[in-house]
Amino acid sequence: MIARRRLLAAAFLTPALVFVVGLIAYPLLYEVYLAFSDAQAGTDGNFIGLANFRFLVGNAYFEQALANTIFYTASTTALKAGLGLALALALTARFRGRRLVQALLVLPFLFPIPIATVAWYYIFSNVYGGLNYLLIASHLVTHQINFRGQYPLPMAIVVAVNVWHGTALFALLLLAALRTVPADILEAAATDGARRWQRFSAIQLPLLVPALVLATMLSVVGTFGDFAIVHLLTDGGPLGQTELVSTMAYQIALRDADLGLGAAVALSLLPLYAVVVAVLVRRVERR
Amino acid sequence: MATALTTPPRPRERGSLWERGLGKWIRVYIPLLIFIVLTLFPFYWMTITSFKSNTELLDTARNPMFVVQPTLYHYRYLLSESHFFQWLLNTTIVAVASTTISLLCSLPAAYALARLRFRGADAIGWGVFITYLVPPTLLFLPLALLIKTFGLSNNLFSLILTYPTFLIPFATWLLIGYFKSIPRELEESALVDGATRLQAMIRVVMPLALPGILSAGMFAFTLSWGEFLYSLIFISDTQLKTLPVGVVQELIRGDDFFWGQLMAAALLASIPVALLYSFFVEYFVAGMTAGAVKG
Repeated sequence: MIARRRLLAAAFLTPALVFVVGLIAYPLLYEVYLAFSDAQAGTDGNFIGLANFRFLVGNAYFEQALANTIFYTASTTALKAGLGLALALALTARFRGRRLVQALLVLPFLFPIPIATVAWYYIFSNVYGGLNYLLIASHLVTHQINFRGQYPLPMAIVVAVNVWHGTALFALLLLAALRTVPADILEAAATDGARRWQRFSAIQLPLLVPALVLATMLSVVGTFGDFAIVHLLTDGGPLGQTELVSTMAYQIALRDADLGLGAAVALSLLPLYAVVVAVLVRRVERR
Repeated sequence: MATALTTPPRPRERGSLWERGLGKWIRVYIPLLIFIVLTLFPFYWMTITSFKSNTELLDTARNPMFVVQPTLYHYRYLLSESHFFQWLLNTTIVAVASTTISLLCSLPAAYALARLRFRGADAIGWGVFITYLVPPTLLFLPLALLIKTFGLSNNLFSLILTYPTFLIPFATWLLIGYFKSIPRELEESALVDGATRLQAMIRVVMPLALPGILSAGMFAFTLSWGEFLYSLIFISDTQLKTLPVGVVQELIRGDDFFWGQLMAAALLASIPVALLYSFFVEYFVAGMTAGAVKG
């Protein structure tokens, strides 16, 4: 019986493990090998030890990309969590047309992000852009703003597009968690004189934690590896202001055809990633 | 009067005018209005742009927020002169195939990890969870070389086989949580009644897991539909591109942006996903949160 169950388990796990081992674990090892080599596109390259990593340590451009990646991930996740929570709380109120509002607010999340980014590119553009028109027409500014050129706006618009895209997922998950809070408990607390903030922090917030952890995890994973928004909106520019580790790895590996260095850049995410994973895994495990 | 006796009195709120009227505006309506405007502005912009003539698009003297003379020119051009339909077909094939493969792999895997007690189940479960956290950024380079080695460059199979790398771990993790939320007793009573494990799984567990399965499938489909990096790297033939890459590469040539067609394409490209969600959004949320809360 135990042997049969083991056989069944093995059969059930095999297809998924073929993918996980063949197309995730093996490529990762392959990438480690590349990072220690001087492989160029078309050649296998030789083992060169830590030369690629030594080149990156202290390289100002790389350090900027690393700092940008951390800032991008942290700021977008924090903003999405805050806005998503506000949105979820607003949507717990009863009013006519709530379902419609909810459906409209989810639109950015399901919209293909590369295509949405192109629309934002247009909105932020100098001459024909909608945003510049609105700002000038409402007399908030006198001259066109160069959103993609003027520090710190390039990073700000990249963050804005990511937040626009991802807030809905936070809101949806948090709203679903809020709905599990029984209304009579909240009402009882209200009759007992608990203020709104007390009701929120003592009753609702603890129940939101699992959903918040899940949404944060999805956001961190998605943003850490994000490529499309920056690639299409600013292409890492100007002067690397918005360069991420992902876009830099792409540039070096595919435009400069330096596979070894590109692999080293991509792998530099791994230690950071391990820290984030460890924190999240502990958080998930505690439940 | 009878209802006044049976229903408990409404909780006393501080300053009824504040709480019911002005307070609700400040707490609910105004924030929601701001959210809606910011959320929908790009869609409004896409829509008006897609209906403007080229002369109108290039006229900086005019107010760009409205269409003066709407035209279907860009839609006609997109559907007749570009490869839009081909891209739509490619994207559909890739998204459906990779979602199906991912579900076929992760359903049994999640069931085994959630239900069949065997040594190492926990370790494998964590392994799957951790591979989910490996971003495409880390994998694109070695995968590109592997695809080349296997002669799959410029072939939709390169996408159908690689998309599951970011779909399977997540779907498996989500489904493990969902399976765990289904009471074991239901299945055990089927086993006692003489059903085999496989029958119990297919007849008892799967129907109950449907929201979770739909949810995982929708998430997978959405991610495949909008995937950009692999599609950009693995495919170079115009005919074989997926929508996100085809639209941004072929409708932007150098510094020439074909804004009307770009925005028309953007709107049309999102219809399939929007339809999917309009039918199943409740399942989606239910599946996601069950996986999250009980995972």
